[in-house]
Amino acid sequence: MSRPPRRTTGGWLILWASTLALAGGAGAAALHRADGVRTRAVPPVVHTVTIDATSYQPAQLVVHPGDTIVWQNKDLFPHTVTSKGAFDSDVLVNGKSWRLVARRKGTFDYACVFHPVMKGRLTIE
Amino acid sequence: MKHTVLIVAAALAVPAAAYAQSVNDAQIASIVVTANQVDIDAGKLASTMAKSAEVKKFGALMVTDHTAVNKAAVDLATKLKVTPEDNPTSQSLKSGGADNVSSLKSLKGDAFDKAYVDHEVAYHQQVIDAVDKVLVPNASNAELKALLVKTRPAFVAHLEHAKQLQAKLGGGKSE
Repeated sequence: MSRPPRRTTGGWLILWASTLALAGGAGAAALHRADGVRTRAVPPVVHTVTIDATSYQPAQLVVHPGDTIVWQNKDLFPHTVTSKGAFDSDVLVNGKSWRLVARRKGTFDYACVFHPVMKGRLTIE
Repeated sequence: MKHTVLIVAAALAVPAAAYAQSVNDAQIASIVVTANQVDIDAGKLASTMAKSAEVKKFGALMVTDHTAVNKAAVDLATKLKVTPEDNPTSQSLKSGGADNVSSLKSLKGDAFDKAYVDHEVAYHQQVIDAVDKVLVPNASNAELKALLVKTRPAFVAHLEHAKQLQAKLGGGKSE
């Protein structure tokens, strides 16, 4: 079983860090985004949800607009992260990751299209 | 249809009880590979012969997931230099699986879907019981035990999924 996701996360962290640097250095830069999404001076956070043993870990996650969520499939089986009408990772085979940047506030229930008993909830507040 | 369920129960429960305290890792490896192969064979049949699109998809999912478990099991056995050892449980699983496939091949349409799904419900329940009562308690290698524990929730997901299909098939009187 290969385990590439660690590297992937590291990659995203670096990407995110360099994006921040480009954005103007000071943490306050987040306050002046054109889309007005961020209204707080708290810097965005990268959250990781591990998919393993046919479950999302953690199954419930609360984030803020601007945060990034990375789902990493460490399971043997293909899974998806699917919230009807909101977001869909498409098929994630073992070792693959998918990231989502939180934008619209709300509570989003999601599931795996292959294994409907796998359920997760993302709250953006 | 009922007899299919009984065949499964007989295939798993009787030898499982008889060997509850005596299976070694090589025998567990053989049971795991055979149990998955049996469900892959039935899934292949359902993915082409089922009438309902949902049952077809479920059959294809069984092929994908149980193939993945078998690949992991074979990779681990190879790494641990364990040669799967044929035993009464794996032999019963094999013959029970063959009986199920031949019984399914004689059915068509709704009757096929119902028999396949009923069998999947019973089979996954029996496999989960065997994992809990026989395979995990007897596995001596930590990695083998971990693989069994890691894959168990998928079998539970399959069981719930099959039960949902069963409820739909049993509930629909039209067609």
